[in-house]
Amino acid sequence: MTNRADTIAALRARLSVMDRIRAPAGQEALSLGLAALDGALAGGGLVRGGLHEFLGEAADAAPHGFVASLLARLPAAAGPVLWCRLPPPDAPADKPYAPGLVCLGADPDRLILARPRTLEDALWVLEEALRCPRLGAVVGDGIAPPPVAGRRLQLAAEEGGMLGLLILPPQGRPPPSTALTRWRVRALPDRPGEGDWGRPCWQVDLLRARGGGRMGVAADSGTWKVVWDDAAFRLHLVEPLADGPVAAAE
Amino acid sequence: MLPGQGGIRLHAVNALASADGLSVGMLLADARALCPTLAAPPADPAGDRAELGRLALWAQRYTPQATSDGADGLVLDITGCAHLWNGEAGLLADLSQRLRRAGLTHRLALTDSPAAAWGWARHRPAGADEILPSGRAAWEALLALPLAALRLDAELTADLARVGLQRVADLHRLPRAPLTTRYGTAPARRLDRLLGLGAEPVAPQARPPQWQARLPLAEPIFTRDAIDTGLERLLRDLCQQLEAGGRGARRLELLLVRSDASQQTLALGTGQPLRDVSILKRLFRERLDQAEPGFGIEMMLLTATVTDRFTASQTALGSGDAFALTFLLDRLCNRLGPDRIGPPLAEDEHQPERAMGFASGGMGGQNAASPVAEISKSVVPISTVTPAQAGVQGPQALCSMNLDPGRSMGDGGVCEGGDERRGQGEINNTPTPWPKAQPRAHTPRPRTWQVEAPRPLLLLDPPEPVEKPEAAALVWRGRRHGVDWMEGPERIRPDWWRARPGTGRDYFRLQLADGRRLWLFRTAEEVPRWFLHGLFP
Repeated sequence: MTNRADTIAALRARLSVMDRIRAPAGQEALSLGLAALDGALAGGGLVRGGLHEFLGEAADAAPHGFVASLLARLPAAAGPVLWCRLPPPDAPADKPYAPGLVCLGADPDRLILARPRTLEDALWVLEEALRCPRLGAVVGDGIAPPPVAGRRLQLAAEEGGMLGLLILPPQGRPPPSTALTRWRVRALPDRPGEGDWGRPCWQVDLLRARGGGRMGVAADSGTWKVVWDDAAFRLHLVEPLADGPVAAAE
Repeated sequence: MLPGQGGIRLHAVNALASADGLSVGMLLADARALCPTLAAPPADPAGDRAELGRLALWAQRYTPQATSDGADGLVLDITGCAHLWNGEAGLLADLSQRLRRAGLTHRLALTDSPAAAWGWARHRPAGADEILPSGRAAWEALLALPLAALRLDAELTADLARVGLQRVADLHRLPRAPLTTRYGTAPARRLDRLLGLGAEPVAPQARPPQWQARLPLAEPIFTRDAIDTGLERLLRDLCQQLEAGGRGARRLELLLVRSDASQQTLALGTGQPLRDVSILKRLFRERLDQAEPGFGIEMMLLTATVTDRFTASQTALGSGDAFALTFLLDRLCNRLGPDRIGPPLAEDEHQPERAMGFASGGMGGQNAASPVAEISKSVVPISTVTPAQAGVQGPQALCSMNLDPGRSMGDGGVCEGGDERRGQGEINNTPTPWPKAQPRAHTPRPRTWQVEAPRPLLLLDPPEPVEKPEAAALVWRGRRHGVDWMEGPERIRPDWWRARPGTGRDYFRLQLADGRRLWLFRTAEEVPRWFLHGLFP
């Protein structure tokens, strides 16, 4: 019996790797930097070989900030990061700003910026980049792939074993997708204390995750308030203090 | 101007300058005294030589036997070519018109030998015809030329003048043996060449190697498959050539000639020299989507317009992924355009929008200008072409052009005053145009992303005008937002060479009630205007 249970367990483990729920042996998922967030994911972090989506509000750089803090956690040997930014059609043009990345611990020298003109070009860039094994990660910023294109991107990421991070443009109801995880990141007000001014402070919601939770916490969703500590260059969890101002960190 | 004996001397002058009494060899100080508004850039003899070589290549449109001659002339052997231009006069007219259009002052002469053409172009009497007909009259015309027309070196010409020899005829009259004993063989040899009695072959200017493969098609092709197959054959051919020459392509152009004689050019660049058929084919795949066969493609011509030295073996490229990143960037570059992809660059600038530059994606030469384009930009005066004397060489016509700046205004009246000529360090009364701005070369330097104060993650480009924030509210994009707090100002001034009154900015960090953080600035004008410049994470 035990033998059979072992076999089933082994098969499950293999299946979960094939489903990109867990990272394959010898490879680690990209930790989000907080045990609570990592714990909500079966893989213990963002698994390579798939897409991870981040939703945000209009004219809010909170999801960008969260993604940048993830990029800062990529090992230097992972290779450069391709950041493909499609400016929103109905808002003033903006671009990722390297000094801002520095503030979040990411190294702009490892960044390659692509600025396609059309959604078609942007999807093509993402697909090509996701297939390239020499990149550390691919960020699709402001790109909402239609369902078929989303599936194509997911397959490309699986083929290249690439970490794809999609920052979706703000939209009323995000379409269903094949991405491995989906997050919503929103800015939270933070009060400047003595001698410093507000720190980046976000509410991070895990909307869905393939494979569900690992530690029994929040089966496949959860809500956390996090704050960026620019002294330690890492995220801290904020205790949910009703709706009050963020007072203490972790 | 060039450094010379006793100081900096004029190397060449243009028409306006010579009208003011300036001449070649004059000291710059003297020239300035004569003409205070003189514009005198330094001469660039090497650049002039290269330009002249390019002009000679261009002149091979008239005859394959064209080459540069000395520092300021071209010689064209037009034997058997003149009828294509409706005779010698037609050829000269066409040549003259094109050179003039390119802004080149020139003097043409058409004669029977190169030496005679040289002399006739530079020293013919005022009002004489450019074309020197064969026969007795030409012989006499050449004998009447001053001794300088022999093209002896200046010292020898001066020596001969000292003994009273002023014209070619004077020399021609002398017995050969004593002349050679006294002055060497040069005068007699040059005299023979001038009169068409001695041979002076013209070797055509060597063309730089061209990496080109062409595929004429028996039947016009329409389908993508056929075009792909044709391209593969071209690539295989071209890559063999490149391999033989130890080169790799940096920029390729595929010319499709359709059956209605219209053309389409598809170009692509590569991040590093390449000569691997499969990789280049893959790069072209994107480009071929834009191919429009129309009524069918009759000929395909593939040219490597920019190449680089490439000696490494290419076995590693097909396998492994060591080059995967380069090829990815090449493909992205070719589809998006080089200005749309690249790493951010740290710049030593204060203004936030200038602090981050943008390196273009490492594509091969974008600006490969064709030789003709180069010519039309530079301005070299040409003078000369001379006719000749019937000679030993049979029915041969020679056409030589002298690009002598110093004399461009002479009699032949070919030159136009004005603004032609910069190329050879000349003098110019008219304002010399500034040198073209070179694309800024980003040399590797210690990059520092210095961040002294918090900076936004998304920078609006250009900044978005907003209403002045009130104490507790900001009207932005048509809506009223509560303001939580606002911090500032942080004054950022532009670099001093850009600073003008009113260009400083006061930056404020502002948090809306919903938690979004904005970066606003106020201009330092009399009536300050407010802009949104960035979004904090």
